[in-house]
Amino acid sequence: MSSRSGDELIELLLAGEVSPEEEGEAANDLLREVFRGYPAQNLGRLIHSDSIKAVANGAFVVSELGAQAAPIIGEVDFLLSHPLREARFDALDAALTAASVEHGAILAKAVMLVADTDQAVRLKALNFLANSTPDQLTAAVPYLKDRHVADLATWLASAGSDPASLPDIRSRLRAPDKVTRMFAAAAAARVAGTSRRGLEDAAVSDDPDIHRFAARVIKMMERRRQTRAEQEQRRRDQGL
Amino acid sequence: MTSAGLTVPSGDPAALRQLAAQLRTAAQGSGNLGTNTSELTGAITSDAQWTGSASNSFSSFSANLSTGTSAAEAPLTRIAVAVENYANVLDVAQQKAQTANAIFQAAQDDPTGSMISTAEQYGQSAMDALDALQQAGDQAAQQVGSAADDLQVGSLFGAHGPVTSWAGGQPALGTYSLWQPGDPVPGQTETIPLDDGLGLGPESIPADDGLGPWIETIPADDGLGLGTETIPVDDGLGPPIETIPVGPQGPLVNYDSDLPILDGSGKLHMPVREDPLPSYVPADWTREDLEQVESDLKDSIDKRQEEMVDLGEDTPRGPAHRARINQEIRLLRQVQKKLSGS
Repeated sequence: MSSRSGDELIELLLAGEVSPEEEGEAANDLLREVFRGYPAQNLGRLIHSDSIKAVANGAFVVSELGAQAAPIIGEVDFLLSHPLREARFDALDAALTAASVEHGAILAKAVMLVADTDQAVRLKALNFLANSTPDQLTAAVPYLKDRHVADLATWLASAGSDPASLPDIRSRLRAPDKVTRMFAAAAAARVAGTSRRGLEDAAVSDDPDIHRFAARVIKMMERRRQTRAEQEQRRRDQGL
Repeated sequence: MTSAGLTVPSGDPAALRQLAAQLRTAAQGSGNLGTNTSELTGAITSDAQWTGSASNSFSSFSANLSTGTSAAEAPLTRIAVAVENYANVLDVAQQKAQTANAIFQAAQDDPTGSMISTAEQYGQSAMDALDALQQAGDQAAQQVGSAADDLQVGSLFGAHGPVTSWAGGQPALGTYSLWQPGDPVPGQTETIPLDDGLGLGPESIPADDGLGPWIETIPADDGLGLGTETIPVDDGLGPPIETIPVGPQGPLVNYDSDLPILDGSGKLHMPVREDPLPSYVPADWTREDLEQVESDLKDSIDKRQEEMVDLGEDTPRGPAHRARINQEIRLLRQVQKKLSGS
């Protein structure tokens, strides 16, 4: 852990003349400095830099701030439309955790990344759709210029979050339209706590985005179940 | 049940896609084609662990290219498409095999037997995907061969150039021949031992690098070893004698009401407090706290590792995220040691 100040860390990351290990530590040290009171607004020096590495490190820090990124939500907005895919990718986390219903335009921008040209960004946007609140989705709708996407966001915020809609969700997973399938996969994840049928359908989809996303959600649910079982076993072994 | 113990096919679809995209770009360029393609060939076969007949054909084919011309664009683009198609099918096959194995395990653990039919469905789907992968590999091999044929017809190297020679499976054909093993070089006293794949014309012969003939791609050492890398496990604390660091008794931060939480991003984040992640296990975490953090850390680490796979290890965001993953792995080890009572 370094004893450098926030300003020094930003200079270091802007210069980019360090090893990858030092760079990684510096970015995490900067994150810690922001947690401890260093002005998050200063991250703009990285985010608006011409250096790809600096932008990526700035996006990393913003994404790790969680809800504390709210004061710099404008930077999240900027990163969501950045040409660097890693910037868009990490900005989706920040939008999910820091954008409120007052930031409909930013939320709409995040929703539209479900049609990004980059698969990793699309998968991340799918995670955004699966985990955003109904209020966030509803707030995005007026700013979605694509009527079809706006209708799908409205559906996801209501019926798409209701386990009673499972037949509809499963039907939409087979839709010829890719965006419809993506929203249906998000819906399947949203109702998976009640029924996994939608996710199981999605996991055998021939759409690489859909099945990859669904398989990961199923894997996560299985891992949690396994962890609980291991914890119970450990308690028994220890006589607790 | 049919899905037990399915072998997950090896390879890195994300790396294949990324490198195929670069190959496509290289194909569109008119300069340095040989350099680009030979570098990418090495990367595709080594970094992405693409193996098999299609990979071998592709490697051999690309090694014979040296000069960029527009005539190479179409066939090289078709090879890029073949690589991308293979990557997509590989991706599906890997995911379906992994999912089928996980569901099969869950079905075995389920005493009610209610998941048997589901597991069988997953198993069949996975086996179909593995069959499709085999077919995709065969098709990729054919497409690479077809692309080579197109180069033969085109004017890139002439009707009897080196690519033609390679595609025909013979080292030299036509009115002028390539260097053969043992052939003397006119005007020079030295003997070129093997076809260097660089075609005819003036060339400089590099000093022997001790690595043998052929075009070599030597990737820069990233210090992380070969192939798809996983996050280093060693936290440098030494497992047998590791001591769980204990926080100060007078809390710097009230962790009781301030546990790290797994938010919608699927990653562990701290609520408002002084550090992004505890560097030690606070003494006042209860067993329930520890178990919750253990579960959440596993989710978070897995999520972060998935993202590294999706975006690639060697990206601008890699160092920062890798360092964060290592921090979480260290904390998880400490939590688990404390839970185990050691």
